[in-house]
Amino acid sequence: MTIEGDIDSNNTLWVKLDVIGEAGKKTMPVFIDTGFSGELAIPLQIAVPLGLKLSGAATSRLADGAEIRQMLFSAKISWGTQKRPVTVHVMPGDVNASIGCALLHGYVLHADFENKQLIIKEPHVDEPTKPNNKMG
Amino acid sequence: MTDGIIQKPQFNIEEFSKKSEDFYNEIRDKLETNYKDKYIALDFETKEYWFGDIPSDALLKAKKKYPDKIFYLIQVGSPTAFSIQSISSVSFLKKKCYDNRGRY
Repeated sequence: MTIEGDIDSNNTLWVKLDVIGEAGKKTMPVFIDTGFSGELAIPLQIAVPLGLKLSGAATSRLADGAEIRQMLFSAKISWGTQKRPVTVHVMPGDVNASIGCALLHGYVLHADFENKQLIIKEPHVDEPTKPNNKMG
Repeated sequence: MTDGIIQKPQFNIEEFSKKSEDFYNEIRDKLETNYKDKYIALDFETKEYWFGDIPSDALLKAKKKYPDKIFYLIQVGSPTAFSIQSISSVSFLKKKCYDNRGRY
């Protein structure tokens, strides 16, 4: 399984995901946030219409060391040719959706900043498979 | 339109978290010896817990047994389950989306 994405002019890594909740599906660009140890974070205004199911709670540590309580929700995402369940952090405000390192667990992330090419793949997989998750 | 993500409107996240952390502290020594860095979904009511390499693995195992329950997630050996380095408490609280009783 191989996922192709993009690297923008600010060197931010992006892929496109379908996020599927109990009440709907939305295709959205998400950036890869290596400072986020979770799986998927999406803004509240996108999460609400998807009807995500509350599944848990956890404590998160922020950049300044502060600890906050957060509710966790369940969704499914398109991940290459698969659908996989994810744990979702719902973020306040007008932020971009992001994926964190837990979602990349078990995968190889290849970022070619020279040629602006991003590939996420399973170890020992060389051949791309459709569909890709490139932007645009 | 759905009634959105508000599935448990009376859910008090602070009380739930404290009870879950009390349960974790009861079993902390055993877990940190054998399962360091694994994610664990805790249910303080039944005193059960489930492990996973990533958060959704642990939650899915817990949900398989109790589909309608809510679980508290911890990374074994870490003071918090998650790290979010792209946002600070100032910007987070300014945009806070749940009230001081833990309700969205």
